[in-house]
Amino acid sequence: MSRPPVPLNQFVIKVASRCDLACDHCYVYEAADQSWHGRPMVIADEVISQAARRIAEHARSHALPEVQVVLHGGEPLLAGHARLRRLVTELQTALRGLCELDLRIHTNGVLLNEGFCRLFAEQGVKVGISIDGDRAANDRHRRYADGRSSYDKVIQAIGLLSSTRFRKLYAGLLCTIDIANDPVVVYESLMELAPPRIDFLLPHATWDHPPARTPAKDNEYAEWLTAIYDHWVSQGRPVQIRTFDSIISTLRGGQSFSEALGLGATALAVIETDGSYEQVDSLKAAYDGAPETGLNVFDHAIDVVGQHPGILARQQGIGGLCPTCQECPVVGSCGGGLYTHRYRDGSGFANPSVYCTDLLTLISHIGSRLPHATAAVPGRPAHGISGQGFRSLAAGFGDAAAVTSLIEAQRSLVRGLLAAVYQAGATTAALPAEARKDLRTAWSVLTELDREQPEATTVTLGHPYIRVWAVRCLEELKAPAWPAGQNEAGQAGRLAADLGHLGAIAAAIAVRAGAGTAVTVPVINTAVHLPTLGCLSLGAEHAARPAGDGPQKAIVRVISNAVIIEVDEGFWTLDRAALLAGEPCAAPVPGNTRSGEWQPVRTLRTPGCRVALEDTDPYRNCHASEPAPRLTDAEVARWQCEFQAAWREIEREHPDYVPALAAGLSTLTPLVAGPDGSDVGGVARQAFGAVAASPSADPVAMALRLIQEFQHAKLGAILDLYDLYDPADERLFPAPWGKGKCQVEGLLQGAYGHLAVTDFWRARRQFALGAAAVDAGCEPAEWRARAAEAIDTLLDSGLLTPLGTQFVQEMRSSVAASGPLADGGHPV
Amino acid sequence: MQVTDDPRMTVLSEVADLRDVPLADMPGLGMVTCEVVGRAAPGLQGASVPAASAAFQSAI
Repeated sequence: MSRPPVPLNQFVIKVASRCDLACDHCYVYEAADQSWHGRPMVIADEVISQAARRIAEHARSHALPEVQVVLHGGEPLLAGHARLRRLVTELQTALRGLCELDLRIHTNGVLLNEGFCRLFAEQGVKVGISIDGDRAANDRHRRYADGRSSYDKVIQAIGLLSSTRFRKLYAGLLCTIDIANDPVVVYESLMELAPPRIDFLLPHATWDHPPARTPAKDNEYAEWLTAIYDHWVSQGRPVQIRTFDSIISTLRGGQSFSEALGLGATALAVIETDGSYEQVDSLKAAYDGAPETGLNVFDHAIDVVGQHPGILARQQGIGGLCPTCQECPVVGSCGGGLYTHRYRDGSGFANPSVYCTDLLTLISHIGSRLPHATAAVPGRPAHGISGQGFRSLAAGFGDAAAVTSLIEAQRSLVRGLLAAVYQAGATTAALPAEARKDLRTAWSVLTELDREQPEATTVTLGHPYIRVWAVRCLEELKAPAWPAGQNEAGQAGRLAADLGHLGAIAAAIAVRAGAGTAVTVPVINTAVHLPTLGCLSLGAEHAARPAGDGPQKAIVRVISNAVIIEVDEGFWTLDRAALLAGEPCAAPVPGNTRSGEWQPVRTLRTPGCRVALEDTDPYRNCHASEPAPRLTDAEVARWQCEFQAAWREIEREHPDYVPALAAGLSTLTPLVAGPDGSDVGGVARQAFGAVAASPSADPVAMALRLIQEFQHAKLGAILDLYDLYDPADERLFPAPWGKGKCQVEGLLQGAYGHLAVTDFWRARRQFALGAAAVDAGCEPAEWRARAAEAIDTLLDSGLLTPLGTQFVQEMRSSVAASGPLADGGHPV
Repeated sequence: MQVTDDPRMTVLSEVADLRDVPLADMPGLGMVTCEVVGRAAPGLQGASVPAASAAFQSAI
């Protein structure tokens, strides 16, 4: 019994039935089906209108959330600017309010110019390009009818897509395999073009017309692809490759991203230039007339197309395959290969693929080299906090175990962010090829250290400003285009420096681990930074060079117990043990004429707690106030005294906060005092573990600063884990602390902070009415009243999730416990 | 509190535990990194994971 039809959601519209190239491997013109001879050269207006109506009708009747339309040919750009504009406009108009529309065009690129790119940018059409590798590989097949190479024009088109203005359009590259080409050379030549994704296509073939092979060899295509796979994996999979991603995904029980693999239903139809519906066009390689359905947009709804036996045959999963395939161990990943490749005269499509041995070899190869195949999302354990810990956090405190749970979750977030930065950075066209290469090398070093030296990796990645850096990189990478008038080269230089910091992270891990390696790192703010360890501050002669040249680079080498930093012709040797101990330790190599000073990250110590005094990290400028420059030794000594006194104060009068602070406070970042000399402080949502503050001689004020700011850090980390409110609702609420109105997160943060301050002053008043409390005019009742009012507003807002309501109710209980409350929860 | 009445019970989040997943394997977990970015920096998901490509293999 066959499965019911799947609604179609992908439509390939043939906007032109001719091509300006004469590639000898083209399945449209050089294969069995020759129906193109009788087609209109370009799609007619009435076909455009009717196709848009049919697609909209289908989307409406099946409530499709999204429809994908691929503009295809022949060469689709031959349809011309006006016709393409009309088609896209009609589709958008017909589908507006019904569903999302994903529009793509796939072209050989030779006609792609700025005008087309502007049109596609305006209309949101992503562009894919066909190219078969480097010039030699591409010229084997992709030529004009007169034999001329198309390579230069295609490269020019890709250059246009890679430019800042149009790179958002760049969908990727399709490469048809020719096993005569060197696979790694082909791959590397494509990577030079910075595509967001690539796919390698097996040349269309059937059992009647098998692919080119060396006699007696039946897996050369697998060998060709596995060479690329191994190279790709060794580089840390810097780009999406659809075939490999599909195999990996299906081996892990996920979906395929291509009709050529997996057992998923294919839900696509082709609309020809004359309005005929056809099955997928690769069937042209099977036999003349193979794609025909006998249906057209004028007379038939798309539901009728969905009932066509040829369409239905590709929606039957394993039941639609021949017995050989059904019994194959890799059928879930292979799915019988591309439908067309199964064809044999007589038995039709009830055969394994003509690439069967290749597919089995390739999938087995990938399967055998797929570490941690069980690490896919489904079934992965999730982070959580014990009920008791959650309660203690909601009450405003948090025990050590609860804060440790928050730290562990941060580790996962940072690891995910690192991978996201690498994936986005390694393929962005906004970055010069050399910077992308540096990024790949840094990732390679980092992943090896992660495997071999997990403890050193964990320590370094636990640094609060790693996450700040990662998010900044993603923000820069997401920018659609740099604003007009801005110096594009300068922006690219900044992006290169920021992404280059991945090398600095890897270098810091290598130093901690004592792992011999050499990594390129950027010079940022005239210093070479090793996060968590410090920086080599370079002399004035290194001061800023033009940003357009990209960042100045340094090389950090770890050799046994020495760390050597090279910048241009300057060399410094650092003793690794001294470096790890936080001691000044840079010795210029004899003959070094450059000046440079190693500035270690210093540590504040007190019994029960030690924190890094962070005045070197280039990404610490994420707090509301300006970070202090490098502190003098005298200033550090002062910080040590103030921190020690504040910690004693916390231990003596606020012991409930000690476990959380001792477990989670890792970093103190000095700030410049306010303009009037006032104390300032803060935390950043992306820098869990760091509290920023200006110095304060008053231990009570510093103790309050640490408790209050870390309170916000805890809540930020809780919000990383749980949805406590509806973030989409931007309603404003009055802030009881008299600073106008704020959104629900601001109200929640304010109330949570007030909880700690209320408790702080309550404890102090119980202990003694200290002068600091009086001077500050702080009465716990006032803080309590404001906290209670904010909590009531939150509970009445209707924006809290069930878990958020429970969290805030626990806050309310904590407020109630801090003093007498009248009915309704307000303090008396 | 409903979900935390039993102090032994864990309040689970939707953040996958990635601590034991080698960094080298992370780029293969596209959905995971997408979710992580979504939690850590809402609004930046598009920066990390390009849109899914088409099933139709003659386009990308």
